[in-house]
Amino acid sequence: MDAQRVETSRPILIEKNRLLLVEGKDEFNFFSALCRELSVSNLQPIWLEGKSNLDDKVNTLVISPEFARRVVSLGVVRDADESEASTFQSVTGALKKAGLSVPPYPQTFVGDKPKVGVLILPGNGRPGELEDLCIEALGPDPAFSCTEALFSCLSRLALPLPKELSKARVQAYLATKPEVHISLGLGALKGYLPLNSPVFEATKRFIQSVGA
Amino acid sequence: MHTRFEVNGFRGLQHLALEGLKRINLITGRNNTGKTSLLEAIFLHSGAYRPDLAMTLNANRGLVSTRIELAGPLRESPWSSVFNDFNDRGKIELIADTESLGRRSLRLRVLRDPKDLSRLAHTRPLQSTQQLPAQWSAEGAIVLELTYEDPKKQRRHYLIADQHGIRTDPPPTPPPYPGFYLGARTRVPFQEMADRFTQTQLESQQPVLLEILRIIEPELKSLLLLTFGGQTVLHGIVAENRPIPAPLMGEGFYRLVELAVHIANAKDGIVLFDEIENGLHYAILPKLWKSLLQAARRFNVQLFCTTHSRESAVAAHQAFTENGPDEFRLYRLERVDEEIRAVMYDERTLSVAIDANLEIR
Repeated sequence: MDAQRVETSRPILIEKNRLLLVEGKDEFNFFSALCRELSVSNLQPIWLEGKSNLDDKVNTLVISPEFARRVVSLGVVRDADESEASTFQSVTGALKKAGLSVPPYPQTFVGDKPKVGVLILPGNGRPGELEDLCIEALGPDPAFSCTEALFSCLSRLALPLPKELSKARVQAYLATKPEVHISLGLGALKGYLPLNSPVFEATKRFIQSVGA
Repeated sequence: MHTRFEVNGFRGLQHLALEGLKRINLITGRNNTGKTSLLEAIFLHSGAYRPDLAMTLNANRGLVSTRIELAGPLRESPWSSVFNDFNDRGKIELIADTESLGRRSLRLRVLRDPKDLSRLAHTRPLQSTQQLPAQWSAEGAIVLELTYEDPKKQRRHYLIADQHGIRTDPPPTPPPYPGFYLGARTRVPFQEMADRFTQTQLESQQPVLLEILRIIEPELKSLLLLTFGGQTVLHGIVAENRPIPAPLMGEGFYRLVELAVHIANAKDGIVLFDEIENGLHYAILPKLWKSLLQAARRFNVQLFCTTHSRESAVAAHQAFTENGPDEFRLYRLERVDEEIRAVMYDERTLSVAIDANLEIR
């Protein structure tokens, strides 16, 4: 599923008529794994490197080869970070500037060729990121309790915690697996994350809507 | 310098407009999206008063022979292939907006109406060596009418195919600015190259040529005209060696010679170069673009090039973002719903596309 990056010198070409624009390499791998889990093969996850802002990236994606001819459905996935509302606003602003349809709320679809939808993670108006959703899904796993104890211990001893705590918690969990793949995306591709968890239901529905 | 160019009804281009043209314009796109046709359209327009260029274009593509049937079931004009969908009942319109010369339009149509043909027969006397045809009619002659219009005047020229052959009437005058088209697979005849190189020598421009050519051959000392096999051929002297015919110095080198010589001959005009990457190693591309920009600035030439190479486009972007004013545009031609359209990448969008590793061809 990592075809986009297998051959790094090969530029990204739109090859499917349903696109899922994600934030980074980890998200690209995670959503590739989720598509595989759902047997969704008609959707192309895509991530755009570089320091440019989202406005420029969406605008450039829209003028890219094959977009106008081929793309019938576009999903945009972003982390809420501090605020779901302001992230959603920034995504819809970028969509509008690129001349695309603008959905009124997250997880709704509007327009035609392409229809457009936006998913802000972890969802339900919460701040945070994809990792928070994964932490929620990992809850029942006993191994996760072990790695969570590590961070509890650090707190108890008043030792400094990682700046990106959610990422660190997921990575600590993944470090318990037979092959050490500390990134979330590769962990998902390796089957180390419980993608069948009900926590991912809304995310899966969104993917299926983009792919429908 | 063109700021906008519009093509209507030419070859596969039903309607296409390039907005915001700059000094250096690079055209990308998949196969059969009209890149070469676009260059041909700009070239035809640069000829201004020359309807015969409609036939030259096919020769540049290797279709050197033309069959002319004035009557019968195969009757078709020898220039029908330049019309959209081979339909010579249509009209070609090429419009250039320029910085200093205003809007200049070129229209081509085949005259079919017997009244038009009859009027033409009376208003355009034939050369004295030719006999007046018994009757100018749809069966007696095929006529391509060219109308060239600039802000001050409108002129008409005709390309006439009849039993006497093909001729242009009235004889075309020199165009308002020079335009050169260098095809991907055709060589400029040696004599023509010799003439143009001579012109650069008369204007003491050899140092400019050498500066560009040393990107490929750093030891190049000079260029000179010598005979080779009975023809006058441009030679290069590398280091202290004997002069070598330039066509034997490598495909990339000689294509660059052709390009440099034509830029130096196209003062205040345009040069069209198909498939610029042919024969050139990727490592020299950034330097090449910088040198071409300098040469284009020096001779006030506008350059239109096509490429299939992402490396070439990236190198151009890198070279031009480091060189001050915004003098570069990339246009990608693409087919959407059976029509070909142009997508423009300005400096910012191109920069984002390159950083994001998005396809731009």
